[in-house]
Amino acid sequence: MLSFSELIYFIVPLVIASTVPLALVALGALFSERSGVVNIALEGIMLMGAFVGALTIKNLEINDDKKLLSFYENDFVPYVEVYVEEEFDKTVTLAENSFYVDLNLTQAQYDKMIEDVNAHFNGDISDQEVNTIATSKTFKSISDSIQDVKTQRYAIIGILVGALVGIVFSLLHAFASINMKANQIISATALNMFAPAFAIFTARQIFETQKVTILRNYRITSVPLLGDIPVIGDLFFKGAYLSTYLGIAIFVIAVLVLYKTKWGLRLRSCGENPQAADSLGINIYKIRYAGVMVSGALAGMGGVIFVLSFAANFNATVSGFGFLALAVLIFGNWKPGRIIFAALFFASMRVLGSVHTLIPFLEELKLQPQIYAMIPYIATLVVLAITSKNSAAPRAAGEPYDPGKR
Amino acid sequence: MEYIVEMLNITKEFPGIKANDNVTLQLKKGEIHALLGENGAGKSTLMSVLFGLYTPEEGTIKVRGEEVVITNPNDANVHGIGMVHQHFKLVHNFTVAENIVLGYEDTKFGFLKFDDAVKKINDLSDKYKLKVDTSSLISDISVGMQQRVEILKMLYRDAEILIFDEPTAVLTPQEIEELMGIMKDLTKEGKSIILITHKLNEIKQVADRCSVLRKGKYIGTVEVENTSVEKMAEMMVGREVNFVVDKEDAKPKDTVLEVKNLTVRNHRLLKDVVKDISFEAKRGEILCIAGIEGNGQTQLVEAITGLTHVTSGNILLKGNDITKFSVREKNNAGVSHIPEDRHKHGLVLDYSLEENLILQSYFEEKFQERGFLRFDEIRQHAKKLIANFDIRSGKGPTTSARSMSGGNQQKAIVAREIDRDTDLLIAVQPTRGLDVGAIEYIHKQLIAQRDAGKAVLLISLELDEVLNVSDRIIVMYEGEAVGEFDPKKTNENELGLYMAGSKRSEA
Repeated sequence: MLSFSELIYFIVPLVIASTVPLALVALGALFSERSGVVNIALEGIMLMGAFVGALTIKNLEINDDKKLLSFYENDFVPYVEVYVEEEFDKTVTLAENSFYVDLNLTQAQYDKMIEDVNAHFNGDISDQEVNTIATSKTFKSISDSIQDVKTQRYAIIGILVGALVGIVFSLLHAFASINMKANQIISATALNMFAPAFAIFTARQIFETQKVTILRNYRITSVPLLGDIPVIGDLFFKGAYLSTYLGIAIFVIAVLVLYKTKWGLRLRSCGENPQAADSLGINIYKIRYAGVMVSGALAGMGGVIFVLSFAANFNATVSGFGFLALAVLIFGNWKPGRIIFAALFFASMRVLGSVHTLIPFLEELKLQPQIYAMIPYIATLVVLAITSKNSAAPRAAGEPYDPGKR
Repeated sequence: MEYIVEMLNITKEFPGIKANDNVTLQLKKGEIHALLGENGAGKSTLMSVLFGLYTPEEGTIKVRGEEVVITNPNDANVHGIGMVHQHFKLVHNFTVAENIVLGYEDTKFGFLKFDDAVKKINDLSDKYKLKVDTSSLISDISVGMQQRVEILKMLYRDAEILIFDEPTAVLTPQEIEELMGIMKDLTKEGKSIILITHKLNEIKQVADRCSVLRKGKYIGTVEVENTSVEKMAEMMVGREVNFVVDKEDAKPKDTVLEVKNLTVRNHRLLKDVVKDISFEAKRGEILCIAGIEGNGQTQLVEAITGLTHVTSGNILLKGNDITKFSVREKNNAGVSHIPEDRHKHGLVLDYSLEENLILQSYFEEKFQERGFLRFDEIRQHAKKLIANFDIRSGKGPTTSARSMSGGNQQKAIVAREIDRDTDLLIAVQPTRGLDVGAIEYIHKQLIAQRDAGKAVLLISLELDEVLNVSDRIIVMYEGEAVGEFDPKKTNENELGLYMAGSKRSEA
């Protein structure tokens, strides 16, 4: 059993990692609803973002691995083989596709080897990963040992691709509900049903399985400098994901845009009283399109962040996070500040549900694991039932704009 | 004479009707020009054309002598035209300042420059004596202040030509007085004003000239000073109008409705919207509950008719306690109700006229047999009411209620409620949105019911109606009855002070 402080250091990063995608997607919903379009397609949009984002990351990884593999097989391994044979009078042959070998060296031998290997490849190879391989005591799996800037770059690319896909996919909803004045619930439901089907079908076409597995670990062991701060460093800057920090930054920017800019002011007016906005020469349709697209972008990003931080693989689901984000929006009363707290609440419930075995009093209850898994959803029901009375939903959300109506 | 705005020979058609048929309106610089007409005469359409919300089929618009094309509110704004809409176009959860700058924002590096905006608003508000609190939310301020915000919105955009669309409909007499003063001040500063209204007294009070529309057609323009109110009314309606409601003195008999210490709590707002009200309505009198919209009249009626729960107190009909009765039980006990919102509570818009006429009685023996409706009886019933109450519609009993005009929809409701022949008739704003002819008709019906020995409870916001039709007046303010008056011994001013809460009788 973990001590209390260990437990806290274990749980807090998990809660934060859960909070960020929830809050981000809820903020997306806020942009859409405040512009006047109810967007329950977030689940589907998130899923599409997650799917294409994961696909992109996986592709980048494979490409990279191929390059590495070729270097490793053609240059690095033969050199090491020869070097080891000459230097230590040992024969090693690295099996194909296996990067693991235990040379069983003494520390002195190892240090010398590193020096020589580095000297040999220096200048030719500046890529950091080679250094990483060379400096590990034993030649471990490349995928596992690589924790560098380039890898994090893939995560960022994946998130951006997710955002783009989210925008494109959300346009379908925007077109149906703004131009065609369709029922926004039905249109969104259609997208929600389409997204997993599309993801499964496409994944099977490509990989013969519906799973998209991300090979590398995008966790940052410790953020330089910040990770060394006592307590705070342990809580917030260790074992975290770059995507988490990115999500927080995007959240802050989005809130500034919403409350401090002309566009934000106009967007908020369109969800409350579009007739008023129209009479002041504001183009309701443009603003609503923008609102839905922002929600698509945020949901798409949220999807990728979700995959990066929770699952090493994407299996045509985002576990209801999109719907949970809508609950967060409602519990957060359509206000960004309260959304953070709502997201923290739901994230904590979720983490409690999944790490219950580590928490003494929950473990003592000896309930079925399924019951713990229900915690976040039951909490959603209860909290919404209690708080929905004072809801401050945008007055025009869900209503197609009709200029003739006064 | 120099005109600042000229709308020449404007024709605007909607499917089926010509909303404006060759209408001309010429506005001089610095005048208040009234635009008079009944509901549906085309006033709002004409102004929407000037404001760029509609594009006319024919006609030209000149601003300061130059022909212009206005296709959206931004164009109107560029030409210095601003409008205070009848239903305020304000965002309820924005502050006053946010509402004023919306759509006309100044920014620095993409961020709003609010301090400068607030300073400009305060300068304008000092200059034109338009007192507002820039940091309050719209939902927290009075209707009068909301209107001042609308006016500031135009001035903030440097509008020279100001359109006021029925600006007094929602104001107390004192606020109306104040508004009239503001309008005169504005013209002194060189602004030109178009005042849309159907209230002749106001025109007489402030306007310089008056153009009249009737059924989309331009009737003429008159100098207000040389024209009598009667003459203008005749131009508007097309015939002579009887302003005084003919009625004899009331002869109240026994009590029909008794309301005792009635309190209704709104659980969402956490406050009592009707506070400890007691009154009696007698046979042979019209009791009027007056007050500004939103002071608890709606909830009072809902409590009496069973649409909302009574928190405490009792409602007695002919001595029987009906407080806890359901709506149907109350109907059957003898309550008729002409509701405030005829679309929401009065009619099922997608039902036919004949179906609407049996909404409260379809279950009676007369109209059903073993659960099946007796359509012949229903048709006969509808035909009788259509004939007796002169309800006009396209296809008679089978007309869909939605396709009928507002006046005829209201007539249908009045017919249904009166035909039920109950002891108590509750009429909530029965003439809202109706034209002069229909108003006359409804008033006559109410008085006829009174003379037939029924108790009539009239809830009205229009002081003319309150003073002309009723026999006794109770003023409500913030859920309380603040005074009781004899219409013969009071006047608009006195009622206005009570309605605004600045005076109250001690019980």
